[in-house]
Amino acid sequence: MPDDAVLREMHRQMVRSRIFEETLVGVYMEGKTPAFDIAAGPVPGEMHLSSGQEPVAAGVCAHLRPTDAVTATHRPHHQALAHGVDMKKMAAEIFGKETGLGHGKGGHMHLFSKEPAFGCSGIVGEGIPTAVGHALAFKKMGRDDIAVAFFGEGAANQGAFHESLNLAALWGLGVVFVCEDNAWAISVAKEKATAIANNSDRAAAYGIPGVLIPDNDPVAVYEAAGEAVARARRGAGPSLIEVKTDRLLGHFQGDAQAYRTAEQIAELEDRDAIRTYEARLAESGVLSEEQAAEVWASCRAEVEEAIAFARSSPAPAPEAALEHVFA
Amino acid sequence: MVGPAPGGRGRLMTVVGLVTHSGAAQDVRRITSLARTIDVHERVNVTARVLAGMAAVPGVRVLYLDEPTRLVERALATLAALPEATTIDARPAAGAEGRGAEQTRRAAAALAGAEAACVVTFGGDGTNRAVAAGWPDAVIVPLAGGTNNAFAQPVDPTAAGLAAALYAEDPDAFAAAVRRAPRWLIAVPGRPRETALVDVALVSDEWVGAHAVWDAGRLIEALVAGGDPAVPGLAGVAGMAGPADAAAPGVHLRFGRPGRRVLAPLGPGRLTPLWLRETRHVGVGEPVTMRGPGTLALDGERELVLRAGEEARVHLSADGPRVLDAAAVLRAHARGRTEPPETTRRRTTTGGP
Repeated sequence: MPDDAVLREMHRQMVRSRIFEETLVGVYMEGKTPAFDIAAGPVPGEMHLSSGQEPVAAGVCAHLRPTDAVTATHRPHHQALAHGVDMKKMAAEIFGKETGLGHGKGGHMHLFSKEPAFGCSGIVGEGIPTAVGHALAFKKMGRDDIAVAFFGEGAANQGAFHESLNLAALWGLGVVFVCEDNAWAISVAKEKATAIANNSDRAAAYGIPGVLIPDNDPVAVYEAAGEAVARARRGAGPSLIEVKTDRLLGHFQGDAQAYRTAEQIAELEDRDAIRTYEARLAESGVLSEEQAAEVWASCRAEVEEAIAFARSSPAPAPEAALEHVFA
Repeated sequence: MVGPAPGGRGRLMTVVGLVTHSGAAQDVRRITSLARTIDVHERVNVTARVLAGMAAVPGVRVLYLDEPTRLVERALATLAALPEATTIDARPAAGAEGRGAEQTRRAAAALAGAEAACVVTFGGDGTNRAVAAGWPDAVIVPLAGGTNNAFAQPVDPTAAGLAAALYAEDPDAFAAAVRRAPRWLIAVPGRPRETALVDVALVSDEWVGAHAVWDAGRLIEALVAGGDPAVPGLAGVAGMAGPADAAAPGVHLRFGRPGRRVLAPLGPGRLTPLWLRETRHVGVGEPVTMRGPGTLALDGERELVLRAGEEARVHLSADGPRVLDAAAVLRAHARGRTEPPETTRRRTTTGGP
């Protein structure tokens, strides 16, 4: 059970991610007419937002050190922020600016940071074997740092997931595999694509613990992740945690979401994890309404500063197009 | 197929309930203890074995909880794929909407409304608690599908299904195989009344969080019905500390030092040293007050946060659900019949006539 300071910090991390993305929505849509004109406006490319999934990142990353490696997905903002990636540099990268994490060459799906150690990819499932590689390196180096792989339930149907669990189990690596099951792989409902209801079951195939968190509660995630991280850090091997979470928005900005009904979307909004959590914090006396308002205000100011930094930063020079890239 | 039970009354419809819970045995104790993982394939397999037992009694209709994992439908498909397929009339219990425990409660209420004679449950202690909440007078055949399984009985799933169907066909013939279980009634002012079948614990966490209780250091006090040193969990702790007797079937444990050191199975594979300040027996109807701050864990799962100053009044009641001893049913059935069971080959259907 986290203490009050941790409870408040998880709330702050969830709020700053939510505000960051809500602000980004408005900026991203500037100049995009029609909405799928993804080259237009100040933020080029596609945009995948994680609103609703913040409890997973907040609950897991609360246990991590900057030297622990986190790999994420094409929907990475909540995880990057919760692991401590610099918001200004991250915003600048999303805007494609020279001051960004990757000098503007990666965009929002390719955020990389050396410390805190963070990486993500637009390739579904890519981060899972990468995390295994991190953990293998830590083991070879004699470090007790660990790796966390965040991925979606759609990625768990790919070979990379199974190969990664197999090797991590075989070699006893310090990896925590975290499946964010938001029930939708782009527009495909999970039950249409997955033979089992709970990916946590799949841990049994590799002889590692599999834990199911059914209710998108940051405290439940924190408790399970704490045990999984401790297990990984003491060299006892990997674990798989599956969290049933909610994707409040479409797969990408501009997604008309024809695959789910307005009632289904409204139901998700009604159980918004941040509002639910905030109410519980208030009820338990951990965070008053005034304190919560201060958190929202301070996070808003931080986000506005980051967005302003990104807007005002220079674009990479054309002659630097081949710098900081592999190919 | 098994012939009618001795004294069978030839009822027009024999209804048996089946409640499965796919989310049991998946919590954090997979990491903190040696708790087993029961994956969906094993759950489908066990469910199919239950249905196979039920199908051996002619005229049985199974009403089942249609939970999101669709365990029963998959089990029916498994039976249909066998070389010697089996017929059974199985259909979802009507009106069992919702999720999790709420859906289980509604399904149990629907079973009661449909005059089911009994229900086979395959889940954890929490599953049986939810069934008893929806159907307080249920006759339960509880199969172990959770982590600690203090309420369940060790029985082969097919035997459980067969025994349930035989009982449903003629409850009077097997009345001796039914025993009434106790239950804890929990009253907190301003909150809905809660029940627990095995144990009520007050833990120092002030959050429901991951539900499970695995840290001995957070136990403040616990009330346990009976106590059994042979099972893990608080029932095992009470069993090691001093199990109850018929005169006072409850055990009240207060944890902390100074006190008596007891090595007890708090979780699967975990013999944990615990310090007990007080161990006493509690009689039926005797009120016990548990005071916040803390969280009440019911049958091993944190459910109800008590704020500072809040009190829970808890007492043991003798009017809990009824439990069907499957082995006793089968023994009685065997004594009443001399001819061997018939065997026939029939097709599986998921709908009924």
